[in-house]
Amino acid sequence: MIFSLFSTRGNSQSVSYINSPIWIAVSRGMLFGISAAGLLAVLSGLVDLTDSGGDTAFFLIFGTLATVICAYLARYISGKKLKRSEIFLEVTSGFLFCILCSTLLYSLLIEKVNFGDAFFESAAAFTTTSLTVIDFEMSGRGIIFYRTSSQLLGSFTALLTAVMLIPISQDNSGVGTPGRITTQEVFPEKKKAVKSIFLIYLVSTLVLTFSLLVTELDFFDSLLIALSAISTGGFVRNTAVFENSSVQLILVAGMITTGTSVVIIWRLATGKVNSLLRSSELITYLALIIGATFLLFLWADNGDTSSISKAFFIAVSSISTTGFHISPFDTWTISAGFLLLLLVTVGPMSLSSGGGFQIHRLRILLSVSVREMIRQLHPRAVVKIKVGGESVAEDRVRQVVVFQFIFTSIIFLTATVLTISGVGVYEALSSSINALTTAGPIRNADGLITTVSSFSMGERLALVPAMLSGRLYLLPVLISFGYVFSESRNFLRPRRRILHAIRSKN
Amino acid sequence: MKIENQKIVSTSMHMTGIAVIFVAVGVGLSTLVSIFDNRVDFFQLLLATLILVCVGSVLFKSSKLGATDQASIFTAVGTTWLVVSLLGTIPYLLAGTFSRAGIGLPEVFVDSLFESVSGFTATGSTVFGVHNPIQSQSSGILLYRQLTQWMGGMGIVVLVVSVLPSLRASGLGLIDAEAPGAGVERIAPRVVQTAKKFWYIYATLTVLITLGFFVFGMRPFDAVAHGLTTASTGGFSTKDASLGYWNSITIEIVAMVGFLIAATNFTLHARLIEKKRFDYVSDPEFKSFIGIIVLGVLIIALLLNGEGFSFGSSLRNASFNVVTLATSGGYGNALGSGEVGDFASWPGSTQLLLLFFIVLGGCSGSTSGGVKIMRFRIGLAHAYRTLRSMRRPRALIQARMGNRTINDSLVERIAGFVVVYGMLVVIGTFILTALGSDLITSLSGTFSALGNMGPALGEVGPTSSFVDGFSAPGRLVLLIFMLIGRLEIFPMLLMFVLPYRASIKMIKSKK
Repeated sequence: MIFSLFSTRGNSQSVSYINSPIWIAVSRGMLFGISAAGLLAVLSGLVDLTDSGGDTAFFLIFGTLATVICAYLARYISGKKLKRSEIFLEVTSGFLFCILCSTLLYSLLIEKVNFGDAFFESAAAFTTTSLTVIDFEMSGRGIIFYRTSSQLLGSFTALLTAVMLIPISQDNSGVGTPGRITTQEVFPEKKKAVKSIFLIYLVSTLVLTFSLLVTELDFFDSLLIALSAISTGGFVRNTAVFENSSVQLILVAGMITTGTSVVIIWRLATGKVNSLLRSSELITYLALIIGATFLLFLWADNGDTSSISKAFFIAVSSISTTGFHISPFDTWTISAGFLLLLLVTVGPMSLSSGGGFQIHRLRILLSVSVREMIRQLHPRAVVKIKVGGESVAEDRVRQVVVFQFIFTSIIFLTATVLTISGVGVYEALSSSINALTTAGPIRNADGLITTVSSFSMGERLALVPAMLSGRLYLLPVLISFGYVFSESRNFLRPRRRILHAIRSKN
Repeated sequence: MKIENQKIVSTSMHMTGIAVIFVAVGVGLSTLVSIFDNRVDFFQLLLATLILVCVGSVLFKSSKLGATDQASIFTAVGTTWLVVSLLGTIPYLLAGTFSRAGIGLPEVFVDSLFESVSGFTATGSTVFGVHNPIQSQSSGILLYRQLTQWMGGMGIVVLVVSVLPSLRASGLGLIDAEAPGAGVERIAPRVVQTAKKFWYIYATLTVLITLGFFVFGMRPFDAVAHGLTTASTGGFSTKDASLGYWNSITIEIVAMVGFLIAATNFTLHARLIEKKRFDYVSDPEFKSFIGIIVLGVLIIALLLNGEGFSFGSSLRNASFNVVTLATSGGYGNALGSGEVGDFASWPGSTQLLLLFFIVLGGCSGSTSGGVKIMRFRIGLAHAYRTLRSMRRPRALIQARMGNRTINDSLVERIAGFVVVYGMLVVIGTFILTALGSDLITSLSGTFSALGNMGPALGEVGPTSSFVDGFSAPGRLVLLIFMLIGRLEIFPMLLMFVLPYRASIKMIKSKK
């Protein structure tokens, strides 16, 4: 009934706000979100069969119902082509409904879990933030698989959004070829992009899973860890597995791959290796990892080889915003904590699964600062911003500067809200940075992990907007918010409403 | 370096010479004051005056003005500030102000240099503390310390330009390179007149504030000393507890009003004095400045009230500390560490809001530091424009501030500034944490130094000494940041880059 109101079939000429693109975008997002969560539930139900199978029926009923209802309702939604801002709204609402649907699932399946905890857990999973409040120790394989694979879904959707919709990512392929190669040239069609990225995810998950099998881990644990690593979600049942040095090294390789641009991985897979060596973004990424590892090792002050692999693991886990964590060194310095905060803030390459500011944007900002120096000396000079030998369009530069501005503002606002409710300044800053960069976990100044369970419900909920905007690279969420705000304002102003109606009629 | 008529052609040397003579005048005044203080430190200050006069005269007489292109201007301004800060340590070193048991000469020099730079840049961070109380110093040294802030507050280069008519048009470039904000507006046809008018307004403001302090209970010496550092939004005090020593609400109000006037664009004051135009209400930057302060005071007062402080006490302490930080003033009103006015012991939420004010600073074209309200507003307008244009890619949307459209080149300049500022904060915090300070102290200390603010959070609150929060190398890093911040980043950075570029060019030409 509700959806028939905005169906274009019967009432396409009617001047109603229910027919407006805003509702089409929201409803499409809703259907996408719920059906995606439903499909995931069906898959988890099947996985649960390998365990006791106690939750299988619930998963299958829940998943099938959600998917079938959504598929049915999808018939009533207009196939109208949406503008970019409306697609942003679609993606954002898709994420939100996916989170809400999973919240319902957690609430129904896990005993003694309230709605707030379920919502936070679900948001952390889909935004690939390594924060958890639910104890999955006694849970069946189905629910654990659902929690882990929802990270992969979130990461995959976010990456697709970046490839197809975020302007700066579309320009930058991260490949330092002599000629300019944009992401659109590498993935000219949307279908090809989806297929290629899906293939990359699938192959890398399988390779990592089988590599982990070489260690003492069983298949299910290997699969879970691989899913968490490839999605940069960072969720694991037992962190003790990371103390094994061979697991550390395999995961380091996996996390480095995750933090690498999908375009680079695609070109590597298709045999175009030469151009990769000239990718300045890749070189910066690797240099940052090596530099951070060196500094962490230096500050570890233990001097043994286990410190090197530990430092390497922590550095890669931070920069790729995966969030796998191991206990800190005995002599944890304050600067080590700050270095890790810096690494998660910078984040990996653009067009990778990771969050954070991302190296391409950082390099543009560096170029902006150099240009400003030159302009101080030669005020009338026309200086182009160049990154990796390629000029960057001025409007892209502006977007990056604005991105930085918004990025900092969200960190500050989230931290302020947390401190108002009683969290310490350092912890609040660390939490908001980790939430926005979708990294996690939250470390104290002494390197120890602060569990989010110690936060109040309000404090946890304050982190969710930052997590969601961080996962969707800020702009989609902000533009969606601005879009909904301006449309609501128009709706509330009768004069504009009438004008809008007349325009629609004409 | 060229030599013409037996004089070295160097704008840097010429300007530095006259700036050092001005400092010598300041030390000379302090020497006179020391006569009335049982001649404590008299001979040391006299010797310092003579040294400074000699050095200044030699530099000035042996040089003449040279090229006045952008590179030379930046080098001249940067050199002047560096040399003045270095020579400004002489009175402290000769008087043994920072000598104490257990520390060697290098650390004494670092402390002297820190106090000198903090003075000239009108920052207000201090290395005095329980280990070396301010109140144990002689009147001569105390006055010199206050005068360094007064000279630096309006700007040494502005002072030099006002007495050097030979600089002509390049004077505006020099003032521009030193003055806070995104460019200087000429308020008189000639640059020298503009510089003189700025100093006239500044001096008048100082006198008025001094009178205010005197009327409300300060001794004449303290009133003058605080008048000097209020007009300059410096924040040095003659008492260890700063204004908390008097525990007087009226004195705090005088300080707040003084800070607010000093942190407002001086062009607005000039228009009021000369053209009788009250442009404050129509100025978008000023309106935002006052609006943000009022909002900040209310929020912090409510938060403090929620923590159990009485509303009156919350409002008083919130307003004083917000104004002092938003204007980069730097006075404290706490009676001691952990007392109600000590914002370092306030709840985390209020500290984060205060950190926001430390970053923000006052209006452009004023004596205050920080990023400046104008840049912040333009940044907001630019962000709004960019987000709107992403929604409507074909629409032509301009960034606006008030009724005025903002030029794209100005937006780019401000974007460049903010980016470099952010990077410096990250670098500074990283170095300071590596040197052993905790993150909040390092982060707020870096912001405070770059914004020439004075006190910060963590271990360097309004009742603490910077010796408590930072090691000697850390203080050295901070004083470099103070200089970089005082000159709005680029002159000081370019001063180090230019010789490098010149040497690269020379090597290439030789090849």
